[in-house]
Amino acid sequence: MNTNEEMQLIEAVREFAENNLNDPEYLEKFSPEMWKKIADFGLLGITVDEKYGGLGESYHTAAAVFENLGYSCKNNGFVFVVNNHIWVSQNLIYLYGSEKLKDKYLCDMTAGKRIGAICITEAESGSDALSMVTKAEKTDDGYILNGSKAFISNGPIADIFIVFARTGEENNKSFTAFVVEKDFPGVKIGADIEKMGLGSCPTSEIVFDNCIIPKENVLGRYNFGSLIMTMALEWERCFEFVPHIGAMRRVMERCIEHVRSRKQFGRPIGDYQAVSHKIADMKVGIEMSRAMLYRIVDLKDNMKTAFIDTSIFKLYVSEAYIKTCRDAMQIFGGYGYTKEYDIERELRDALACSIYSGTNEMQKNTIYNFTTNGESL
Amino acid sequence: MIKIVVCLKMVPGKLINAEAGGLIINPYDLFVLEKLAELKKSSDISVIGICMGGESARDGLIRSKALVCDDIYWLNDIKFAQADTIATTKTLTAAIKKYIPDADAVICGGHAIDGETGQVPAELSEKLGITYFSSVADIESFGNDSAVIVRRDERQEMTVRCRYPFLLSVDSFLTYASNLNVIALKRAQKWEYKIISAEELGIASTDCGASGSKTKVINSVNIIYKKESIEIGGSIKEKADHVKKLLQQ
Ligand SMILES: Cc1cc2nc3c(=O)[nH]c(=O)nc-3n(C[C@H](O)[C@H](O)[C@H](O)COP(=O)(O)OP(=O)(O)OC[C@H]3O[C@@H](n4cnc5c(N)ncnc54)[C@H](O)[C@@H]3O)c2cc1C
Repeated sequence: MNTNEEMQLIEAVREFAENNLNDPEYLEKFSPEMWKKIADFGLLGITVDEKYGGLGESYHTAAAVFENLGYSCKNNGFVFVVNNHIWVSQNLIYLYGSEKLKDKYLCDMTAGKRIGAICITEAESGSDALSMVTKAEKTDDGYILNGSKAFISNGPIADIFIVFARTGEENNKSFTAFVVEKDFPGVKIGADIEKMGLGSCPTSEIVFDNCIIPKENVLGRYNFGSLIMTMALEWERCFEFVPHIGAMRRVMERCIEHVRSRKQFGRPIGDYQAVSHKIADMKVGIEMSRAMLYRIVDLKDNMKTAFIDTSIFKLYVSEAYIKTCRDAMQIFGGYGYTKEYDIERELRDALACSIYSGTNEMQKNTIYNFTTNGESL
Repeated sequence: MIKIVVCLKMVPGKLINAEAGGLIINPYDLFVLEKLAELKKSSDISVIGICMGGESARDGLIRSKALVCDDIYWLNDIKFAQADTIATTKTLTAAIKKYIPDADAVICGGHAIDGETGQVPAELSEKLGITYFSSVADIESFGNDSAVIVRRDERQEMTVRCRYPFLLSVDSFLTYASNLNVIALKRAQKWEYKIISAEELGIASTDCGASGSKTKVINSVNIIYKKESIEIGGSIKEKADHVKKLLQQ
């Protein structure tokens, strides 16, 4: 159940998104104007304290709002930009950063003046993230960072990167998270990588070539990077997937409209169970995802960990989202395969979600390990 | 600082969107709020909303506050209910005279889309004894002693400088306000709205609400003009071709 205040926010967000974020010209490329609009609208600091220009909302409210952003903004790539900025960049500084870091970055980030990104993956370390070779060496004044990160969403447009690097040889205790500005000496931003979907979210490689990082830009504590990474992934596996529930709703509604109006053999195609069951599956996917989501945000609002819950959520939502878009294409038949109907874009955008935030196979590994270690949810 | 009063009415949302429930800001009033929000960025104005309505007006008032209002007077009393234009005018006049006697400008939407007559602005200007400008299409600026507005009718468009105090009846409307911001919305949710009863306002019950009304609506029916319809199917191109053919016919 949403409160009246949440409903007002939701309505405002839906109206805003419908009127400002659906410009067809920017479905496949990033729009700085749209970014400015969402920043002016005040949504970027949704859970951040008012002191830093945020709204100070609960995670429950943020979940309700972001589901609706995903519903009303059909530009899935743009929503991905917003999510990367908020949940795995700004939010990490807000929750785990020192007062100095918060003062330095948060107001600019909630105001959208600086865009954030997260850098974990490398060319040779994807699922096995802890095999990363990007390295930071301590100096008298700070650190020198060397290495390169791959597939960085928001890379070409970001001003602030949360970078994970090896800071010692001992495996799990030898990583540190840093806040790196794009203008620090030695940061090189690669060109936008063309992807099959999410075109409006630019992606690139980021290279650190003797990059100088001041001492105070350690996020959390030195050598506590793997803990920060675990927490970052928890946030990512929850909130990056919230708008997908809204996107599923949007796609399902289009399907419902189509199965009612499209007639074959003299009847609306929705009369055929092979078609209508696909919509029933979509509805089940949406409702199950929501049920899991609100269980997670309740944990987060009570400052509890939800690592395994978010793994299950990520796995379930991404499978349901991809199936929804795949089924939508089948329901629309030949029309669905055309660019004009925009279902193919929804499917292209959706497909990435079984890969990012840790592949679905890796989620199953995590869930299996957790379950067989005898721990219960 | 120029003091501007905006008269706000909440109307059923379903008049704009068949699926919407509850009340929304009358689209003509929304245009005024949006315009004032724009002008407030560059001019020294304070905006005071005044609304006669029950509890269901709250959401709309929160939005009005978030958009631009510095203050809001909410005339909320069962005694104000079922007012015709005369009773409404008397109530609004009493509130403006009591709470904002030094208003430089009063601005009303030209109509309320839930079937009001469009008479309140003119009546209100008469009761307040200030100059009335009807058919206002736009408000350009607020200066120290006057404002510049655009009036438009079927024949002409006039840019007019009007000296304070005056009342505008605005004939432009909006269904979406782009100046709404969620930070302001949140502040507006927490704001304490002043609720004013008939007693507090000092208006006799024979001057407001149903008892103060000269007219009574005995019955009201929605007239739905049913037109023959056809369903156009196919691709967007096929649909467009079909529409083109129909237009040519
Ligand atoms: C759209 C998009 C945006 C991204 N954004 C970012 C970003 O902003 N920041 C960032 O750091 N990274 C980002 N990534 C990278 C993403 O996190 C990695 O792609 C992902 O973790 C997988 O790594 P990989 O691509 O190297 O695949 P690999 O790890 O090489 O995996 C290849 C296949 O092998 C399987 N596999 C590997 N190991 C195992 C195992 N032990 N058990 C079972 N199966 C296994 C995988 O499941 C997969 O199917 C993004 C990726 C995409 C697609």
